[in-house]
Amino acid sequence: MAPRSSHLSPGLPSRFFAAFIVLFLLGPIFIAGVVAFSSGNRLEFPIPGFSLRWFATALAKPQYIEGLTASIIIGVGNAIFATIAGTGAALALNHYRFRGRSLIQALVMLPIAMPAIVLGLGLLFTLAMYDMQPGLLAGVFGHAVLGVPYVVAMVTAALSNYDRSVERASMNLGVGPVMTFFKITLPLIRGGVIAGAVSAFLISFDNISLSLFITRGDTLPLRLMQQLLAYADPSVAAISTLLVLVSLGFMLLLLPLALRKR
Amino acid sequence: MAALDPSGARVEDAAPELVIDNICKSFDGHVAVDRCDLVLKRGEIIALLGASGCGKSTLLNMIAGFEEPDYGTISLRGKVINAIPPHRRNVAMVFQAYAMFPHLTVRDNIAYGLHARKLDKKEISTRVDEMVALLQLTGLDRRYPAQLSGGQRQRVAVARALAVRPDMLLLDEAFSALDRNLREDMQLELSLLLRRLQVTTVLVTHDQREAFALADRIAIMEGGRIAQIGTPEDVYRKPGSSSVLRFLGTTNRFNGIMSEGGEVSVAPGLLFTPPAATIGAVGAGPVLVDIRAEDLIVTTEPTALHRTAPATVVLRTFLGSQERIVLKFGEYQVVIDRPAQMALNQAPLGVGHEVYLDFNPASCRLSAVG
Amino acid sequence: MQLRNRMVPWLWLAPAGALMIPFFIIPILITARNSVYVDDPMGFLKPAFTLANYAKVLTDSYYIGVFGNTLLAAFVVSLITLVISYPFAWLLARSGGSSRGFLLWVVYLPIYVSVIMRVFGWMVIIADSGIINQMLMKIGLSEQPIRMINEVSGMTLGMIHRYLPLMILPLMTSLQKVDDSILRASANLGGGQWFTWWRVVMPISLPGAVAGTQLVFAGVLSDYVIPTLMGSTKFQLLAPAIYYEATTNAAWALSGAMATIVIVAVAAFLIIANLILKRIAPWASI
Repeated sequence: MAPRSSHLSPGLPSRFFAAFIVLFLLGPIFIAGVVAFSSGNRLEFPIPGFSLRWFATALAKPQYIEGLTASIIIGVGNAIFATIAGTGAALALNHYRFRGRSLIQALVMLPIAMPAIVLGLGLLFTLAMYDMQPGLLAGVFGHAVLGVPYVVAMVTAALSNYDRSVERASMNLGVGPVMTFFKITLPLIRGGVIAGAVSAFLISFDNISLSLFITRGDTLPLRLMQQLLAYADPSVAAISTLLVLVSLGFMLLLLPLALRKR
Repeated sequence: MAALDPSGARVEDAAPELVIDNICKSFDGHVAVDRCDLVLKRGEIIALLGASGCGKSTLLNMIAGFEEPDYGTISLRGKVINAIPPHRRNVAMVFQAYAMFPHLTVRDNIAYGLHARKLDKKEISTRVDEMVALLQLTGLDRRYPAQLSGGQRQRVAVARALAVRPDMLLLDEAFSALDRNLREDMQLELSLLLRRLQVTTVLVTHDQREAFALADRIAIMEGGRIAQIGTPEDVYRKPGSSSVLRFLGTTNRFNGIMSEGGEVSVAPGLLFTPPAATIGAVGAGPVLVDIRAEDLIVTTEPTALHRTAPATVVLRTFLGSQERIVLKFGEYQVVIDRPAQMALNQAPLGVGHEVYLDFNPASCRLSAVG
Repeated sequence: MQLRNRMVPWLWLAPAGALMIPFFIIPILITARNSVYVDDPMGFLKPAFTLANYAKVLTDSYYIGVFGNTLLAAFVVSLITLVISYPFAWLLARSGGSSRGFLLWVVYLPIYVSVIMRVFGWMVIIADSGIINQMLMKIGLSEQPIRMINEVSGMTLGMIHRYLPLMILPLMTSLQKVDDSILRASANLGGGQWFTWWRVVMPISLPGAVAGTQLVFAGVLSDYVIPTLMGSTKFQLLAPAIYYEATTNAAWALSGAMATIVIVAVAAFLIIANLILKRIAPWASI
């Protein structure tokens, strides 16, 4: 493969700029991570000393632990609903031509473009109609709505990446459309479905604008925000850093599994 | 610039259009182009033919200005263009995948180079109309590339290149994306068009048929060097070396032994004296004998000129205008192509028949083993 | 048989419908409905049909200010992120192998990390005794710490950081359509660097830029945490304002009106942007 010719290669100034952006994007995260290990009492950088005390403090705070539990429940719950809804929608939109298809497509992707406060407010108004209170269940459904577009996007990408004739072969051999979906299509698009579910989880986990309205300050980000408003101390950074490390650890564990299944 | 002779008729200018002198280019220590020389006259079409990795694309890219030669000069109409950046050379290129601007209509694609040259709107419009008619794109000119077929896109690519009235046209495997029938039709069309417009053209391809269909001269490239250059007929009938011979057409290869006296014997029973021209740089000892499928003759009787041993017919295939016979000769599977007409004049050769090989020794090429 | 075949796509859509209709479509409709109701002084919502809420929101200087601030913030953040993202997305689109992998990871990581953690990091950086001020005072560029936290400047910085990846990714996707051969073709036909950028790269990147802007706009309009933690009380933004009206003031009709205006504005923005895009870049929707 002939190397790229010199007049098209990115020059030095654009490399410097890229480095600056990398610094900009990673800087605050890195600094927060470092402060989590601070032995001091305030938000200061460089840190006076290295200590794990804030991790201990964070894990001992019931409001954090409750918040974490709530966020996980809502995250997993909404991911399940969003994935089922989104996968079905992606399938319908991708495999079939029907009247109203473009309208449905727009509706399904709308939650991304719609500001979450609007949704939050609407749900606040509507929950009573369903005999629901703001809380975990409302959080599950509200976040699921936010997650659907992501699932649809990922599953749609996976759907366009394989040969449809395997489905026709399956039905030709006598297997009905529903069983064909579970036996043939689903395994093939598994990657997209999982990516969608993970996206729905992550979006919900970090969400504030929606959770504000439909939970009672239950979720972890809301609890952390309350802490920062009251008194900002490194415990906030500590628990956030812990989450990042744990999830990175999870990913590293799951990675060989995901790679092996290929 | 054409001169006029005393009667007022135009005299073809003999001054060369393109001169490539001792061009060399290496990438990371690997030599891509090795001391190539080339001279093109105005209106001439030359093909750089070779397998992938032979350096033909690198050479073309240097003419276009996308690569800089390490050594040597490229001159267009007497002026050395080495230092001129690609966008200031007037050499238009048709790319392998056509490099259509997806966001522009056919008209705007064709007009692109004209806008870059800051021509006025009326002139641009006229030229675009001209090109649309010339390349038979009427009715398609407001479409976007995504709405066109491969063949239509190729015509737009050609129109776009010709619209700027380039000093030279460069074609980079321009037909490889088309399927067989379309390819041959387009090659014919383009060949007629280029000759009519007298556009100097360099085309790069690995497809022998493409080179033969379009070019006035063919330069066969191998390992960065130009192995042979000549008209299609020259290069085909008088290959300068074994490798050039093997590159064009279907060849058979035999292991032979050359005696001190210059006689070559091939087991299980060929003996002949090759003329000096075919020997090349080979000495006595083991040699490789290459001969084309169409230069081999099948006879039902052994001929007196060579000592032959019989071969057995293994397969006979009718290919339309040709007949292909495969023989088992000793340990070899020999392929022979001959006009189907000829087969009609003989008794049909069935599988299992015993036949004899014959050929003109001048049509083979010898090379060293290993 | 025919009927069953025609029903099939709708069967697949049923779960999505069961989720989105009660929890998305209906809430939006209820919001619009509430906007014409009346908030009585006791905090109850009384059914009615009045446009008084809209009148209040569109004429009262406080509310106009909130909308204006938010639109201004959205516009400024969109512009800055667009300008900054562009060279970076270009680099990303054209790099390969390990450097591409690294750069993509850098872009995805902030999305992955909690926004609270990012805000926290910014607080450490721009606080009065934070990193920037420490450096400025050490170098001697400033006598006093420059107030950035709880100021518009700090808030804008936080927003740029938050929405930069949302702008980079769609831009990158668009710019990936500009491959080597197209750049070479442009040069070959006589286009210099500037000509090529203006006539080829920029138009092709337009759909990506529009998509990115839509995402950033939606984000800023919805942003509660950054204005609250890093913003100034003198510069009120929409999300905190709506939250305040809906909860502290229990003014459901008023907040409903504000939200309905947002819905209409966002919808209008989407429709207009798409219409403009269809006109300038018809090739993108083929």
